[in-house]
Amino acid sequence: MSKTPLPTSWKEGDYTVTRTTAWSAPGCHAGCGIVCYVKDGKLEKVEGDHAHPFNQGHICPRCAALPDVVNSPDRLLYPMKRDPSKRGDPDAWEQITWDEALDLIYNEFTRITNEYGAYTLQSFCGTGRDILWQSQRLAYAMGTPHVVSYFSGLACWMPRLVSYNACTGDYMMPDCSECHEDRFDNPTYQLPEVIFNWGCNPVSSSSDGFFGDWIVQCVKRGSKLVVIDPRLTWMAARADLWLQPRPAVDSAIAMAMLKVIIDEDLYDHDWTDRWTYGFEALVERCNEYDLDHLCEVAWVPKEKVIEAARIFAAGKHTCVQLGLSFDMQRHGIGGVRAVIAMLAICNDIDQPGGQIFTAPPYDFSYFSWGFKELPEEIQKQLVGYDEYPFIRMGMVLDQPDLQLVQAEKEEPYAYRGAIMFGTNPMCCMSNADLSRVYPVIQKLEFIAICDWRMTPSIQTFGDVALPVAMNVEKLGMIAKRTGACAMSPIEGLEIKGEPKSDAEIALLLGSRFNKDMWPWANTEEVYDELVKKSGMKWRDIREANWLYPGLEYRRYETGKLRKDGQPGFNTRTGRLELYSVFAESIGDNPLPYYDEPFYGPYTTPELYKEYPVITMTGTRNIYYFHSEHRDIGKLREIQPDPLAEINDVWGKEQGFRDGDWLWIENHIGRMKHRAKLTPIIRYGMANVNSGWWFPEMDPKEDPMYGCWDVNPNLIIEPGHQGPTGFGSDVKAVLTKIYKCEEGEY
Amino acid sequence: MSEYGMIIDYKYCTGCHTCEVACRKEKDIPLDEWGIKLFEVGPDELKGKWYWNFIPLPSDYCDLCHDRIKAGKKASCEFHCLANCIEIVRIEELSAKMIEYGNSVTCFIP
Amino acid sequence: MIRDRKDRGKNAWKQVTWEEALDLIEEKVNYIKENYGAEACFTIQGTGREVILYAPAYASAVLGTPIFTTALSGDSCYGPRCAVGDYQFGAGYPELDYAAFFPDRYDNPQYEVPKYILIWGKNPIYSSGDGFFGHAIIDLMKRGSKLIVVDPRVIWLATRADYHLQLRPSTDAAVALGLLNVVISEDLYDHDFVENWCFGFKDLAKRAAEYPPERVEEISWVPKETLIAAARAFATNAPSSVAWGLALDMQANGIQAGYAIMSLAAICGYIDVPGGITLTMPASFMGKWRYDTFGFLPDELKGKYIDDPSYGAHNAGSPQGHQSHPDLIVEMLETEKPWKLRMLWILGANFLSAQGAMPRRFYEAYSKLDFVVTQDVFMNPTAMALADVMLPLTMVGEHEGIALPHFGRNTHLLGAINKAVDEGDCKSDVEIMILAGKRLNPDLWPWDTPAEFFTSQIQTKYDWTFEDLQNDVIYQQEYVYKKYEKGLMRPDGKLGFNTPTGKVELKSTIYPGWGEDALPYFEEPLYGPNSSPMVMEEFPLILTTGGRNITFFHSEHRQIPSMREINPWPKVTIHPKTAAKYGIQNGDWVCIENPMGSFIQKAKVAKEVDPRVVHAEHGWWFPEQDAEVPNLFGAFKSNPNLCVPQKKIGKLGYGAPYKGIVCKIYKVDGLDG
Repeated sequence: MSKTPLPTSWKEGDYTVTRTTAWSAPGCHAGCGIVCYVKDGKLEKVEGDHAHPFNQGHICPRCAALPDVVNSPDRLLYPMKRDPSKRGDPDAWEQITWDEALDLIYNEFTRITNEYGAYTLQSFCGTGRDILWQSQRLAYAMGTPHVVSYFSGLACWMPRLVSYNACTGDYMMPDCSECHEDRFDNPTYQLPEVIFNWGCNPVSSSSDGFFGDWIVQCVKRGSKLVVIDPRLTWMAARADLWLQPRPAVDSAIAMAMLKVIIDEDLYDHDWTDRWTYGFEALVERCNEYDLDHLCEVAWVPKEKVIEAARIFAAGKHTCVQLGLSFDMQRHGIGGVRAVIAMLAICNDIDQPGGQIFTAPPYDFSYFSWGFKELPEEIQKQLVGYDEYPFIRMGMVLDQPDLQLVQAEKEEPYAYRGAIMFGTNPMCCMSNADLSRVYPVIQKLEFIAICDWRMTPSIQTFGDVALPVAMNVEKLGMIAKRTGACAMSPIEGLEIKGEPKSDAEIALLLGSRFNKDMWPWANTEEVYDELVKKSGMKWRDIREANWLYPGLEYRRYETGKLRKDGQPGFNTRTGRLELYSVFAESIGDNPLPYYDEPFYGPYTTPELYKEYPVITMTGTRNIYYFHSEHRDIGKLREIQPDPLAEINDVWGKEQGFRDGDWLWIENHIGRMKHRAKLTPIIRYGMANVNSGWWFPEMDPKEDPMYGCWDVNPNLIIEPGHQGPTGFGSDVKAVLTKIYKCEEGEY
Repeated sequence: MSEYGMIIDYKYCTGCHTCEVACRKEKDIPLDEWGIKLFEVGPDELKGKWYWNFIPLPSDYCDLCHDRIKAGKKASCEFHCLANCIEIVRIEELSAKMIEYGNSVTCFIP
Repeated sequence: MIRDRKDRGKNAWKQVTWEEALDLIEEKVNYIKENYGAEACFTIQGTGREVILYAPAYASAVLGTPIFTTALSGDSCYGPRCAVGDYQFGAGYPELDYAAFFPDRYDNPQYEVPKYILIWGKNPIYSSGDGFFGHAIIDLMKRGSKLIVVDPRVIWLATRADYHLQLRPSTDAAVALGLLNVVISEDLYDHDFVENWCFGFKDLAKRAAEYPPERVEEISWVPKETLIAAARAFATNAPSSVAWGLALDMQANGIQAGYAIMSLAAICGYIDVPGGITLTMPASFMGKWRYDTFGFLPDELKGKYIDDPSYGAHNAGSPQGHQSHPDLIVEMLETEKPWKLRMLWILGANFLSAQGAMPRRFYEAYSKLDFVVTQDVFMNPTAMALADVMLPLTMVGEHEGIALPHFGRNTHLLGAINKAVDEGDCKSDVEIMILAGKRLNPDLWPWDTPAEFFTSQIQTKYDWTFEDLQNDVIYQQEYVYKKYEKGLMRPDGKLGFNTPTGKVELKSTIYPGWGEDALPYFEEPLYGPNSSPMVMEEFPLILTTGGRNITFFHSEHRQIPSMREINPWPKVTIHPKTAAKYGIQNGDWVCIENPMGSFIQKAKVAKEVDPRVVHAEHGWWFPEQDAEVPNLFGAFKSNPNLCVPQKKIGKLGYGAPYKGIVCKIYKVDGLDG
């Protein structure tokens, strides 16, 4: 571990300058270093921190606009309450003190606990904000296991995380030198010969802690780039090879490539023999598939798949940036396993420029912190506990598809109250069919929501709104797999109103509910506790500004991957499990596989005839984080409207023109977007945004700020999660598309 | 690496499209593709003044008319440009030439 | 190709030989001449083609009729500006000096770069109008010229200008008088030139005093600060110059505006000086075999051209000779008075798509003719609708000819059109003229080839031949500055200008004879906020038309894929605020309507126009569409002339409101409404 050279804070003319990290609020999946300039108590500008290894001074437009977000006139400044009978009435809010707010929440939840049981309480968590352990430990302190997001198939990161874990014992990512302080100059580092960018657009999303520009840096230095994406992304246009599959069948491509690598004998026999488990079973599995059929259903020419497989295998070291798309398909896990198998048998695992194991620079296991402290019978009420053993691993969130049905039927019980952190379910996350999620939330007796500004969710069903502190206003910490740092309120900033960090809110409430679980006097003490095992304190990390985890390669040879110090991998067999013994032990498919989405041209041809347009959703715009930033003029100007990308040739045939409002309809509902005709997607396909609402609208007219009609979560049918409980076909909805009538927009 | 680079003195580009058509003819490029394409920004009022620029951007078809240059001729777009705002120079002379052109100049290397 | 008269409008053409076609023309013309007189025949000319040099000869020397005309209401192109040149300076067309006369161009030691160029009602970058090479402006900008642009649109040049006077369409005269007001009241003019070479300055000063910048701002929307600053810049930076454009022709008040603009240039001392405004004596080179052919007519026919005596500037030996007045010809066809016109020869004109205001009325009136001949390079709506004989023309490069920028009125070069390709069965306008002339009027047509004809014309002035010109490609004549000091501006060799007073007439001694004011004045356009507030309640926007696309020449090139690809559809430019007000988005089809009619174009939402103004393109038809009547290649779908009135023209017979009418706009589903 080492430190970056700059001080934390200094003066520059009239400015007080502080280095910190942009996390969170607003939300983000990265942990970029920023330099904040404060004058007269006000955050005036934000620049990138060139000494910060994560982003090396580069920032995206959202951080460039951070002063507008922090200084937004629409910030929630004080706690507010509204009578639950007046939900949706923007004039019914009443400002209260923090003590009143916390007492109110405590009293309401205590009443519900006394009347119905603590397990009828829910703690919602979103994504991209510093809210995970906070929302979880608070839930556990309240006595409930329910950490909730009505997010079908928990289709974000979890499928990839559990797949990697099941096969390799840890999470993996591509080695673009991001773990070395001296980056590309590190003597142990080698440039990946080939990078597969698969099912994501990291230059726009920088998701899951991976900074998109890292790939660009490698390509600039000579890495070959292969892109697999149903859309022609900027990277695809620059790739050496681009495969354009039908959405939600990446596992078919992965199986086909794996099959080519094995059939053409392109793999590393020696490494495979020495370090993997289950190769014969893998070969057998591949033999079950017909290459022509796989390519045909994936809608990719066989020659291209073969070429991709050969490029993959030929790279001395090949690495793969796997995206959200694998999570957002019912059988994505089968595909992730196939990719892991390819990486393994081609000897790309734990190699410089290959696929690497990374971990935060200290032991910071904040997932489900305190779950085990719950009584076992409460733990077992976690939704999906019995049905999906994988659910108990990793983040430990309720299985949303099952939970929705439970909540609707009120079996075995109805949910009664909720507190929400970092989520705006009216606009995002509620992709288990918003028209079903909405009434389930609305019927809760009491809802408290923490956020930094008024949102459609707070306006529609919030009973208490708690103002959340922004990244520059709070004490916190971020632990990425490529490094970590801590943050504190930046120097010289005069904080307006009384916002508190999500951690502080969790602490204040948690200590009311369960002093034993929340014994700390302040959040700094909480963070000290979190990093205690590393022998450090929060302040050490804040002063370090950035801690590198350090990276060694081929640790499977040196015994550093296993707790027992033996060579090999952190799996039951000690080998890299092409055949996952763990998966088998919990009744899951132990091998890579491909299967079709629940609805599709091959599974439901009749429905496909009626709804012939495969619609994807969730593509990231770099200027918005999920439902955030629509109120920031500098960003909104870039794309003012929710856009449906429509293939230009097909769109013209349909009589659509740029800017037309279109209905995108399937068998359960419809939503609307404005047309953007473009050749970047396949003929007859569409791609819609997510997270849209219109902060400029008058909430008296619509407390949802227009978010309902434009929400693709109205056309995503829950209940078709993958066999593990993870994965859902969010990005491949069968729809038909037609123009809105006059008056419908 | 190309021996030559193209300087585009876009403060004088009037948006006449001659380069597009000349290039299309020279390289026999079909209508659904392009050899050089004109981009337009504006008109908008910036700092109380009108801003309106056209910039031609060559595509992967462009080899700066290698054969013409070798034959001592000018590239087709350069030769026909009505505003005389395209010049192809030896690559090592690019920066000096661009300084001569002053403001609102950009360059392209194939 | 020929077609039976009853099949007009149908694609019922029959291919015939040249002999057969010419036989038919000869027979029909002779029949009409014998039975109804030669004056029952006439020609219509377009613009921009070689044939405009020969159109008067086609009438006077081939058909033997005194009637040649255009289809443009108020002859609103070039003629009005030429009239100002004629009557004010006694010279040809006053043009910006861009060193065009010198083989070494800007390097010529006599030449000076204008400090300011006043670009008025013209977008020369895209139009290269009248024989002016538009991008010369760029050459001059690179050499230091600064720009003052007077235009209702933010044209690209306006964004490069030091001053942009974004006026309300057709208020040019007010702006020009406002500039005169500033220059005179602040004493910024060239006293020496005014005293020695101008007539009527005091009266002009008095008139200009009626147009203080405040009043001009009210009329024209041009902020008085901009007006004052532009006037000062123009007057105090000698030499400066003017490039004036078609917008001045296309308004009833245009001659007055042009008069005031040229007066401004004159009092600043910019006439016939290096880097100022060039003047030449009109009618050099081919000018001879053009209007002069009128002289071959028998005396009893000479008075039978069609004009109104009150249109003084137009008919009194106008720059366009004895050109019959287009608006009167339409009425004559309709009323058959004073006699019925029977035969028409169309020369380089597609007047149903361009030129003709109220083109449906043209279609009806011209359909009455007994016999119509046209010649063109492509089939077009006018030929499809009206012609009985269509003769196929060779293109440039396929025939021998000459090019004459500025039509002989400020001609810096004579160019040879050399033949590069042999185009089988097509012929040039000149070849057809000689062939037809030999049949119909053999005495006047002794030449067998175009080359012989050209040589004989050249040798009315020079001692070399057309072959010499072909070898040299161009011939440039010498240019001498300050000719008025050298006795070179008048046929009598006296000093001064060829006007009644021998001076630049700031106060006209000619116009009062025609019942017109001797001094320039502003008059509100027919429709506008000050002249027709009631009309503007329903039609609240000002419509200006005809800004050029560089990819098209008037109604040409719509069938050329590489051009059409760049501008696939007609565009109406609407300010974003106005577009938002009417719920129109970029790319929407929009109907533009006024009491005259309506047409449809595609919205281009841009800040190029004032929110109160929209601009529509002209000349649109759709070669890819059904050719036959009633669709007629979609000729009546996007043509802005459908909204332009007939015969609402200036007092002197010139200038119709093509560029300043009113309209309302609304979104429609497609080109067909």
